[in-house]
Amino acid sequence: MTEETLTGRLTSDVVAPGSKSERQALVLETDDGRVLVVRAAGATTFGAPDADLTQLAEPPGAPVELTGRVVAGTLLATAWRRIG
Amino acid sequence: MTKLVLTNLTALRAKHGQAGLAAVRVAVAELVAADRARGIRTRLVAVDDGRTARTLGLPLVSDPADEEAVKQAVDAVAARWSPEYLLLLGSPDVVPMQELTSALFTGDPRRGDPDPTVPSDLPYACESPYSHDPGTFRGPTRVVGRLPDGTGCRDPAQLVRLLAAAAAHRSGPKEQLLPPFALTAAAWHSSSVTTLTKVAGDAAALTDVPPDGPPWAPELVGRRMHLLNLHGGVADPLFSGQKGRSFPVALDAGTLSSVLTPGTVAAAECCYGALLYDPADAAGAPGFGDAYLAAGAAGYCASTTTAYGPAAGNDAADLVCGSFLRHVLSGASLGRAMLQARQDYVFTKATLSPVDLKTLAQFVLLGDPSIHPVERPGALVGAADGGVSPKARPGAGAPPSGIAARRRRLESNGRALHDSTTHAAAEARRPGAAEAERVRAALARRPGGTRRVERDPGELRTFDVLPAGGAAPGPQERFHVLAEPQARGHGLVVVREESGTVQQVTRLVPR
Repeated sequence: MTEETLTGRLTSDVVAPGSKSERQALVLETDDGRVLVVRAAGATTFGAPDADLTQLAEPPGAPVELTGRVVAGTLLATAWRRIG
Repeated sequence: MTKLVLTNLTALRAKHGQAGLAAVRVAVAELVAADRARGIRTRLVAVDDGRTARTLGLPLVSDPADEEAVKQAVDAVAARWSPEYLLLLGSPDVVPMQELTSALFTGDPRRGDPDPTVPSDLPYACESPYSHDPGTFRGPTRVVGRLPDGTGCRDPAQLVRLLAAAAAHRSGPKEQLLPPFALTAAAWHSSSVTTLTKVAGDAAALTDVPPDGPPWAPELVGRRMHLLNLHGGVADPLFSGQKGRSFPVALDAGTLSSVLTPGTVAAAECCYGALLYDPADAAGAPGFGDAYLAAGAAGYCASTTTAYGPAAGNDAADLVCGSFLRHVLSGASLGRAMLQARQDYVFTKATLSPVDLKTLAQFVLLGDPSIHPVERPGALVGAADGGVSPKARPGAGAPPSGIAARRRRLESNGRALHDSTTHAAAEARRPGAAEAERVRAALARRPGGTRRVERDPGELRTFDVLPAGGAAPGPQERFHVLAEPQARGHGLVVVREESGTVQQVTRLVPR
């Protein structure tokens, strides 16, 4: 599975409502219409989020470019930057 | 009795090289010899082998990721040899899991289930032909397990160790597995008490996280049965507890190798607890499925995707894991315990909801399915119908007598479940305005149901109930699934309705 680069808008929101995984997480709405949970590759799901990546979601909906692998609906990001 | 070890040699060679494949073949031969002493005839079957394909009248599996071809091969192999045990040898990049659709997926993880598909070994346990529809696989009949070699791994050492451990396994008395090591997120304490009481007779062994947390005392984590009701994440080697908005680490997969007792049997209700991901996606840390087996566990039952359960009482993940452990304690093989847990789950449901279909699909067994963790006293005798070897020694792990009769019964049960279990449609439809309002009003009238769902019609999704064999749905029987805003986050509510009247409401609350 190769890495892909995606552009879109990043927010922080509750994901997987009602499941054992419900939590606050970063969410990317991609320009091609997908909605993906985002985590820094190597970071844990319920631990402290990557500060640099989290900053990209301020203000909510900021346009960003993220690179990483999509595993089970989650983008494990290895590189990111604000655009626009 | 027969055990088939099914793999793809081309895929193993591509990952581990010719020498690596040779090492795996030697380890398989040693398992075959060990099984022979237990009265089990074990045969290696390669789905990419030309002679096997000709024998079965099937095309070669040329692409290891070709789920349809592999499913056809498994069905043909099962039909020809009627194995009592089917062991899938390798991770999903050797023998693929079947990617089943999840009707709960909305396309937006903020509005519900985040998983587009459910990687599953359930279809290999069913006689129904290849399909992406989980409703197809409601009548499991086969005993199936998997030994992973590490997704993306280029070293055969893990698989060789797992095969050696399976060959060396010895059964023991039930008391060796009790009391269990049982961890729960504090927020789910009540539900976990119910599960553990069913498994162990009481919940004295249950530990809440928080306040407790790692490192765990060796006398706790070294216990040979584990029950984990914790949070898990995609490509994440940590399970977490919960109290309020705090999610402290409860268990680190990286610590298991130094603390686990060989032969441990574990069941994890946690989301993604059996997602066999490439460690490269987690800074080199393997997931719990690989880590438990590598640390010496005999078997591990867990979910490949997001799992569900109620705040109090038992449902979904609780039922599968509890049933699996109970059957193990009663002397079943790991594979039969998994099959019976699946059958128990289908049997207890009036009809299968979208959550039930996902639950059934997502739990898999990692481990050699023929291993018997618990020795049944007096069962190790030559059997007219099962053929346990007279050479079998107590503790050697030979199957108890009567296996052929049990398999016939389980096959019949599975077929009966397939023909008698109605289930939710694979795709949702938008409910009509009057239908939606009726459901919302009914929910508001129920105890604890005064919360008002959002007016966005996309929040409510309706699944008609489909017939199965000779079983017809009830009049206008359907499920409604909605994400319900609550004081903290959302809940998932599953409503079963007949003739315009709500019959059952299941709340899968935020945990």
